[in-house]
Amino acid sequence: MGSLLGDADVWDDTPARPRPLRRGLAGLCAGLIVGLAVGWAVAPRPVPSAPVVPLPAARPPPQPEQGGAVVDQAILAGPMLATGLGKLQEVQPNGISARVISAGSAPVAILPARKGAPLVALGGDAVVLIDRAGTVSQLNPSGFRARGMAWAGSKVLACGRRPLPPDQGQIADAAGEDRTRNAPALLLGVKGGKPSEVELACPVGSSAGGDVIAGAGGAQVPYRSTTRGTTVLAGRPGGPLRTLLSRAQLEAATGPGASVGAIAVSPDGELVAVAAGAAGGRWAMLLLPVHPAGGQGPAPARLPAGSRRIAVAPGYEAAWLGFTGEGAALRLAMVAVDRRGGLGEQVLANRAGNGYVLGYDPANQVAAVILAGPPLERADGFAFSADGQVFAVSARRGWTLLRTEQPSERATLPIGGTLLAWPGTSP
Amino acid sequence: MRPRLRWPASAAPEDGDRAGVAAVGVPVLLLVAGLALGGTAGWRSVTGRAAAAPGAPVGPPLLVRSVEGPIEELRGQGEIAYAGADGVIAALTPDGRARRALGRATKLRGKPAGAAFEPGGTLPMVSADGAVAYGYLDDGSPASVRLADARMLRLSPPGTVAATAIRQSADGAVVAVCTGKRRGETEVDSPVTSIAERDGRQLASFPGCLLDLARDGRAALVPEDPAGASGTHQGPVRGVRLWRRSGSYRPVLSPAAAVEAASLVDPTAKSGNVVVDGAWLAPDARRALVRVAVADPPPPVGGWRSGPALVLVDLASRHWELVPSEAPTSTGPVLWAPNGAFAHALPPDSWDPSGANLLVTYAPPVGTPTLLEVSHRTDSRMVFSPDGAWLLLHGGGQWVFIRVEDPSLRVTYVAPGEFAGWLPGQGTR
Repeated sequence: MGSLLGDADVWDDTPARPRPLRRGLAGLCAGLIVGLAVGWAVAPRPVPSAPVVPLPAARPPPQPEQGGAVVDQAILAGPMLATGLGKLQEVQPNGISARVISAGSAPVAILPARKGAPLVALGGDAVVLIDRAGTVSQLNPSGFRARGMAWAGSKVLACGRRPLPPDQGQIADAAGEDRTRNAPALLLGVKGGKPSEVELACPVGSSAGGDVIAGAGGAQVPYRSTTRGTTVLAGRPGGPLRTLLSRAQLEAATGPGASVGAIAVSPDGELVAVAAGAAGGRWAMLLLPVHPAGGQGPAPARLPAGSRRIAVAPGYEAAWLGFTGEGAALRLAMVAVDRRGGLGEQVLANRAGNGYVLGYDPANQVAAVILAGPPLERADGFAFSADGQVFAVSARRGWTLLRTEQPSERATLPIGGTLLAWPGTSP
Repeated sequence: MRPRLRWPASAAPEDGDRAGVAAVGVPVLLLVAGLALGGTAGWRSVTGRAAAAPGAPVGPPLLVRSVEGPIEELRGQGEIAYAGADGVIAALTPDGRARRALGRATKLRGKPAGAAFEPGGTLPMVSADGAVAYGYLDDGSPASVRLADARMLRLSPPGTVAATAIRQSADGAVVAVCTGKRRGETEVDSPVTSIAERDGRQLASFPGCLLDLARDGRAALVPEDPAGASGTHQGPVRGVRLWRRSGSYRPVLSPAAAVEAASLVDPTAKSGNVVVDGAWLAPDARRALVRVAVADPPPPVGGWRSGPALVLVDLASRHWELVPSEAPTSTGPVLWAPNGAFAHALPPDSWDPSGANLLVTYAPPVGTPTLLEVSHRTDSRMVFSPDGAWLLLHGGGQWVFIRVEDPSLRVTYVAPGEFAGWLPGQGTR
């Protein structure tokens, strides 16, 4: 609208031109604002989540992954002895509590507990006593490198080797062989005294009371980087030893070049279990009566009357033998470990392979594999409980407990260390 | 064409009406649009999702109950066929999201004469394509039912009954039955194995009962001694050999090797008292697992009984080795996975109500075996998924899925019915 110069003012009655676009844009803006407000107001709110309050992390005690009943049974059987991180510990079977017995020694074997006697352990090539204060004292004379031991009455039967003279030692070193040679076993008094020699080589074993001892003997044959005996002898401590198994019988039952790898004597001293074989060859477990009916078999290569032979699976070697119980309740366990490939030279805990545990009931001649596979992967310790109710295996991934009379009942405990013995009482 | 919104100097009456409509309509339209856009923006600012858009594709509701574990991990694992209480055979995706009815096989209610104690022997098993169910009639004779139309087909001559469980190839196209005339409650006279296509066309037959059928249906593990097996009744199996559809045989585990294997566990094993109590052919038909044991062992003493030996045989070299496996009181199933892994189970003693832990050893194609422990379970029936990644324990009214490479990954839910087969494929959704 405007006015013309020189013209009288006139009213323009023409209605203002509607501006739909401008009004529309204004409406759009208003709609956006109102819509935004209404949408925001009516939209459903999500239920606020509960505030997360961080709690201080409490380290739960190790619990059995399965089989609480077996653990309860194991607790009744009393404490175990285990080694790890350079110390000897008493471990409760529930895995919760542990008590250091000796912080300065990490033994590889423990003898069954004797009432009133100090703890007898094998470690660092020596048989040692560990008293209640954890003090360690050596039993065997210097120069004797103990590799095995067993009770022999009130004494300790220690088998071992002696170092070669320096010139021969260097030759052995160059050949990658052991710098020691076989030596007669020693009977060591727990309270001191001069040791006496026994014509036995490693391994050795004894009955529960130590009144029957057994060990390897005869000619030494090469076994990997060392040597081992080729016969089995048994008898009473201090008395004459009788040949239970000759070399010919041993080789006939296992294979040429066989030597004795493990020995166990039943608690009542009536049976000797022997695991034998050659390095890389076939192995077998032989169960021999200490007092065979009718004496030796007619042929020199036949096993004595009443003997039993169970072949070890090809590629496996027997690593441990153990008895528990007596009479009809006598049970024997044999641990066979995989030695195939590069596993042969490995110590137990460094093996990547596994194995199996064969359970045998000698009275009824019933045998079965009671544990196998993954629980034995890198397994390094085996023991029956003192009451014989539970069998335990320590391995890198945890310990496995199984009920002796019902081996399908088992528990896995997430605890570490190597199981040495299961005395059931505190030393 | 004249622009619509131009305002002419002199407007005709109809033009004025049109302009009025536009003057009102355009702002109103834009106002409504603003409201809609603003409302949408406001809604999304709160909920984080579009208001007007149809809801995001939410998965269908679960069709299974009491689910524990990440059930979505089972997506894409085909379907599991099961027989419901109403007799309908259905297929369910393992993730519990979809189900379809396959048909009815209500006539398959019997069980084979010689498999009274064989797990699953009384239940129909569905072929891999979900088209056919195999099972037994009330008289124990084997039969198949086409699920689409319930058409039944007898798989053996009249008067004969199944001596052992029906075996089918992986694709269900080939089926093997061992039948004969019933003698007594569980015995079968002169058993004969017949291998046929699903339409009943016989491909081959041989005396004795097969132990296992190859995945492709072209071979089978059979007893070593055909004469003994084809006698008046099915005698003890002393050794195993491989039968091929061409008619040729090749030895797998001789009776002497079976005795040697059994003696690794039982010192009383000797020639004549060792029997084969199971044999399972690997998917590639190059290996076999054979379980041998002393026949008629002494009765169990305490918790122990004489245990069997499980051996793995390489069919090309006939070299065998012990598979260390526990069996102190009972023996469980053994099965191969399609990828060459295998598993064997140690079921707990059924009388034991508390320590009932099922132990399954899983041996992967490469690497060390794994122990899978399932607590409070006595039923050891199990099956691998079609890709071998999962193990399903389907007994006991509850399905337990375990991822074999990561056994901590488990899914459990109430079984919708009795397991009848794990069908490959993606499933219907």
